[in-house]
Amino acid sequence: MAQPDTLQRILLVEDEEDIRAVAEVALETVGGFTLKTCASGRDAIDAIDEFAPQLVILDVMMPGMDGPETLQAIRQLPNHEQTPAVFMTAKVQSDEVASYLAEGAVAVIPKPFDPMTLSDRVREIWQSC
Amino acid sequence: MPKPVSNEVSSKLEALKQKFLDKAVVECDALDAIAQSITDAEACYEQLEQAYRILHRLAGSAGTFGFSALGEEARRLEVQLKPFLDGDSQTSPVLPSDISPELSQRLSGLRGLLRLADTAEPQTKSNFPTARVEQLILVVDPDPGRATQLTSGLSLYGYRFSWLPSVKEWQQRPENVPSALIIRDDVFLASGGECAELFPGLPIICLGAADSYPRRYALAREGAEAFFCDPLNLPLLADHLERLLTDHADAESGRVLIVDDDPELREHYRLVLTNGGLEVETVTGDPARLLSVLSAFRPDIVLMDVQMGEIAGPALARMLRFEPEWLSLPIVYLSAEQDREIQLEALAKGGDDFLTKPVSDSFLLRTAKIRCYRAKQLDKLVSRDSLTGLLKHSLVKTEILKEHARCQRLKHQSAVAMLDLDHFKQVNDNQGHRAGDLVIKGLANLLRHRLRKTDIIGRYGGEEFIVALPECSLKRAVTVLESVCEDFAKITFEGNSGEFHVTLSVGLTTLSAYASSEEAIEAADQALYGRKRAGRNGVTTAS
Repeated sequence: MAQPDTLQRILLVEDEEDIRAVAEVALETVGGFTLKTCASGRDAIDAIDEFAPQLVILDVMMPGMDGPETLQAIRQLPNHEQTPAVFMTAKVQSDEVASYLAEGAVAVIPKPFDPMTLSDRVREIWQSC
Repeated sequence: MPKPVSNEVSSKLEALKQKFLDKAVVECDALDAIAQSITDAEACYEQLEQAYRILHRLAGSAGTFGFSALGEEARRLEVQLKPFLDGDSQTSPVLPSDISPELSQRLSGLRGLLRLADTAEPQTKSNFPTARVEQLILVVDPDPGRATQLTSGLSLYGYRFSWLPSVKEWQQRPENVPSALIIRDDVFLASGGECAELFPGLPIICLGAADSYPRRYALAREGAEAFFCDPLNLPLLADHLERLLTDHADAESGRVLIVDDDPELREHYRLVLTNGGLEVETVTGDPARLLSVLSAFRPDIVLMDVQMGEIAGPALARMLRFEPEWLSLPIVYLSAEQDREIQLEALAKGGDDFLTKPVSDSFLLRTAKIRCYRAKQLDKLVSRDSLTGLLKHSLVKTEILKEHARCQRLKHQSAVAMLDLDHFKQVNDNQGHRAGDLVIKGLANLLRHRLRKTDIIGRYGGEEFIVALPECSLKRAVTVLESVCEDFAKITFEGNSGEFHVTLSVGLTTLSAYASSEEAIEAADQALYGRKRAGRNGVTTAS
């Protein structure tokens, strides 16, 4: 299904403070997107309605609610059944990727990512979904 | 393709990198402590869980901040540690004795990898664009501490490193194609030819604890190109590495000019040779065009059709030889001519070899590569200093003269510098001439790596070097050469009286500020004397 709009608003859910900071540089300064970051799945669910992201990026392994659980919870919310979601993970065996895709993600971004090219990758994903 | 990085982005990333580093140091200390508990058989489940968390974090983030080696090793250790945590619950007893000593040793070793940042100083130290692509050297050594020592010593020469504890961990990715492999000899011999399979054509240097001829023979038989025994003489290793790499690069690259009037053949040859990694320019047999293309492209060899309509290849070749500049340029004819007599006739008129059409693509490519390689080797013999491979005195002066003329014409600024090793006579006297030669080669290699491909580097005299940096302000040149001085002083050499260091004095000036290149060189030389009087080891600019 083609996305007619250009991608502007991204929500990133990531418990690591360092990664949130470098993603801000990668996606806002380099990529020119509007980024909101949340440190936990709980925060993301509280913030998602007001921010209304076009794309959600979720770290897989987080304390408390992990990435897949957070995505499930987001899918329960009205207006977010269809919001494209991307997982970010250091585990990138191909069978694992398949299972993440089965859980409703449109793509998996492997960690570590290169801050200079992350926004290109995100744009690619957006155009393909 | 790397994008131009804005200052804003790079300074932000640099700050984040520093923050990451601070945190990672603390985490590696924690891992070290946990490894100690494992060794003492005191580790508890919580500690292993903590180690796992740290490893997972590092695996996912270290690469982003420029510490790929650390991140990759953390990832491997994370995978190895996982089974110990997969028990039913926290009640399941962990037996630290099940954890191998190797694993805990590697946990402690992570700290050392913090010193192994990706690519030489991500452009922060100097904003000098190195046109040279940094070559990636793959280091395979089960001992991370030893590997770190090696790579931090060699990184002064401007190589990029990737470290693996064993060959099995290797995963080829497009951004990490290595140019050479440095591997412990026991690992190499035990891999049973796996290295040759994984890295076809890659130069392999073995390092070992013990030296013997049977061992050396075994290594050579398995395809190793060099062997060095502990304790390592790093400058010697660096020099050997440099030679292997330039030689391999020379054998795999070259510039070929194709002269043929058939557009389809021209295109076909171009494709074949370009796909094989050669640079190709094509031209018809038009005598008026040929010379200007030659001057602009400066090929290593010419492939020429023998008969191009009205134009005869041999006559064209002879015309080329009118210019002294092209007297030694190899010309290879492509022709359907089978008659040996006619072939010899054509060779007598100024060609070097015949390729008989139809010629297979792979034969054409291999011939062209070998010819280019030989041409480059010959050219080096003539124009390069045999010890350092840098331009000889007279040639470097001519090059600087040309650059001076370009400055006048194009109105840009260039810098010229004289470099001289400090107290070099004492080095030769106290440490021996062999060590002295290594010092000279060491500086040559460092310059080659730290300067751009377009920079002119020559050996001026015994321990005197000269460089010209085209389109470079004086301020930038100072920064670049100061960092060369700093790094050179860090290199440890070995000679008759043990380990030693050598410093470097540099006199620098703006080439374009003088009426002639000789005057500029003279001014740089004066500045060099100024530096010597001011205490050596550093850069002085002409007043």
